Amino acid sequence: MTALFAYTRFEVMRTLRNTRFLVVTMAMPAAMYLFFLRISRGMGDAAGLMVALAGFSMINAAIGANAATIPAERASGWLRQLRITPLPAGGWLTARIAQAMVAVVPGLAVISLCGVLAGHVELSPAQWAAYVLVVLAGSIPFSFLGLLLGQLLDAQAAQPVQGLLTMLLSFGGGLFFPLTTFPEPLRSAAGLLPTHLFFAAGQGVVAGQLPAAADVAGLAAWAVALAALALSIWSRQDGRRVLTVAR
Amino acid sequence: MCPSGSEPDHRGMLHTSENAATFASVVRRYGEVVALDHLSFEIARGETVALLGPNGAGKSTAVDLLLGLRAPDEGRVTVLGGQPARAVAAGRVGGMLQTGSLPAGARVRDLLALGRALYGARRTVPELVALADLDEVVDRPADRLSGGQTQRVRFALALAGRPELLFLDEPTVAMDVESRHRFWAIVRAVAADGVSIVFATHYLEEADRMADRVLVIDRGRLVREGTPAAVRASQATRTVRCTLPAPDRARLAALPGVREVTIHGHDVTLTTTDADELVGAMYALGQPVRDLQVSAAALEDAFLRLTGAAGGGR
Repeated sequence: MTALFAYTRFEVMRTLRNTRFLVVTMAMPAAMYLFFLRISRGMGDAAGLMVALAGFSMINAAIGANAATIPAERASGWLRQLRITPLPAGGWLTARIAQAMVAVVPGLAVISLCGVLAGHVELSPAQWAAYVLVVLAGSIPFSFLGLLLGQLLDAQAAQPVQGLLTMLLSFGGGLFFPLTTFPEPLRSAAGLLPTHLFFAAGQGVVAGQLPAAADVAGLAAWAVALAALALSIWSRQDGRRVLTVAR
Repeated sequence: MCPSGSEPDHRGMLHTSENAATFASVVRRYGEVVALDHLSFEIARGETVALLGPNGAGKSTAVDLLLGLRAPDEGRVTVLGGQPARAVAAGRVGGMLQTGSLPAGARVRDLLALGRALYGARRTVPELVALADLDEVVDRPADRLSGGQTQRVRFALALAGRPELLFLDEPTVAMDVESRHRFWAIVRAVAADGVSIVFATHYLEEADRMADRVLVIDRGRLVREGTPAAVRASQATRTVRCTLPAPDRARLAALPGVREVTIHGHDVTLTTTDADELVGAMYALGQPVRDLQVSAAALEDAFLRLTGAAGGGR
């Protein structure tokens, strides 16, 4: 337990010192929020837009926190070194997810601040709490996705793949254009993306509703599936090569 | 490949529980490639053993098995009386793995604190600082250290759990001569505490000086084991140098035990398995023998011979 706690604290500390990464997760979504707010001239749904951009920032931070760092740690041998300490696989996984969740917080704070100050979003304290909870809990499947990317890709491939996947998930999940604008087979498929499940839950919360059970269950299913995959890879990799089976 | 390379498998009886590590006829394949081919050896408690072998000999695979990072396809690997992964999970094995830089965003102190916590606080951070000589760098960012300093931080991490078995992978590779000297002095002190040490190195003089025993691995097999002196002697090579007025290659090559003949003008260098006989025979050649020198071959010579890496000089 102390090992898990110590490693989590270590990873969280490293994330918080990675200011360049955190600034990117804050600055771009904030600028986009202000831009969309301006072109909608007060006619749009400022709260819904806040959820969309908080989601965009969250996806960037949650995926990037691990997808960007793990390949470098593998290349330097640090993962291998960790593998031969008593830190259990589950401990490693927990710390990496906690670290990614911490990385989500600065972007969430900045977007929410923009929502209040520029978008004049007014929510009850319970709604704010639910909204923060949805963003943080909703980040979990994306954190596991980032972990998987970090495990499967080398440092050169991780960055473009991460960027591409972030955009696909954001557009596909309807963060920027509603799913109703998609043609039919695509629309149903897009509805299953974790981005859409998160967005639906978040929109419900800021509109004063409870998140739909189906959306929460869908997000949980994504998280469990991705976690199981990441864990099995951690147990099989020797920490030196990208994948032991890929030789 | 040296014809005397493959040894009969005489290690039928394994005293597993007494050993720091045991490999019993271990086979590991990657697809068609056989990385380890019935590799067997034992490392006793408290022993310091050097693992030698050319690149691609199966050393890295053997190390992965030793540290529980991979499982053998056949045979058995035992570390401290049980499964390697179990010994590692219990913090009884320390490893210093050859790597690039340490993680960014952490000071040396943070890393040592992490190491201490991962191994259940068996040593204090100041203890680790003192042990690995890290006073000057303890508050520096861990990814901004020299090669030698980085290696010493790794060494401190490897010792954080007071391991019973310590593995060092080319530990001095990034060090200058003085750091190397300092480093081995610390290792010697750790060994004196009864810790079993296995190290891989490309500096054969380190193996010669530090190891109680060397294991030479080639093509996934153990081709020789013994004290550094015995491994040197196993190839029984000594070098005899002298000057002769009229050296004749054919006649010199026919002398007792001669394996190699090198002639530069009047300077003659002979490699032999029997220096005593050879020297006697040389005086019987009927030429005045001058500047005669007999020297033992270095461990490196024996290593190159054993692993067939000498460039086909025979």
